[in-house]
Amino acid sequence: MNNQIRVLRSQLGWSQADLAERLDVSRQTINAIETGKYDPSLPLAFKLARLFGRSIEAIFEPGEE
Amino acid sequence: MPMRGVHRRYYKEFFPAMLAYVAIMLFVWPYLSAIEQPVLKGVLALLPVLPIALVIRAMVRLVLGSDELEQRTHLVGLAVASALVAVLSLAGGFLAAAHLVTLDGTILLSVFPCMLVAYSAARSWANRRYGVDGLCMEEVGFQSWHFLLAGGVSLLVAVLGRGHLKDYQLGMLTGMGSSFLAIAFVLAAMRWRQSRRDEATHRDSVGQGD
Repeated sequence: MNNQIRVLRSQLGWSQADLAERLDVSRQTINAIETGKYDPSLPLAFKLARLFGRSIEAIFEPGEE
Repeated sequence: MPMRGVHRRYYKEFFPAMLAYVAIMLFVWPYLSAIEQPVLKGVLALLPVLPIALVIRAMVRLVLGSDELEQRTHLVGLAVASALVAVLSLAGGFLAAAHLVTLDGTILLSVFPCMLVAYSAARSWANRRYGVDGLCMEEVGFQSWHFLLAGGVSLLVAVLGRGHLKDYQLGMLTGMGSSFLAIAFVLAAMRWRQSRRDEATHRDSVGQGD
């Protein structure tokens, strides 16, 4: 799955650690999500969407099947 | 990088329990053979289980407090460790039943350490799969020199106490010392590899900027 998290995070001037702290997850988890190596659960995806003020679809898009 | 609360709590619970375990094994357990009274002997024989139960409690609380990706890698580690120990136990049991090897009850003491080693290796593999750099121990505040120091002190005590310590105590100290030194070496090697990767990434980004 592709996502816009790195872009959105950079726009807000947050580091991975800043975002991780806001979501109560580890920095490594944020890195894994940003690099597309890990797809977050629905609750975490909703938390991300709420934090960035966007819909889930605006942040995540399906990758190649 | 600040230590996360869940890790801080884990190490606050883990280290006193492990220290208590080492103290019991070094200072109480060697004298078990001198005790005749069965109840007291049984209580003292089971005494090391108490700090290990506290270690397991700390590990359970760590897993429960971890985020979803960490829980997934914990699960992979625990699943692989359980499977490996189950297969080894079965293999050992069948070989013993066929009278090809002789196993006594003390082999059970190696089950937990075997699980921990398999769990650590499997979790490291799972972490790499998710792009986690594997330097979790450093991220939660441990550097290779901490383990180098602990290993050095353990081995120094073993060397200085060579004439006075029992074989069992000497073996435990040298085992602990060697394990700490091995962890220090692995952490240092991982740090070196990480710095090489960071340098390569930096070179690439500078190259793209030109």
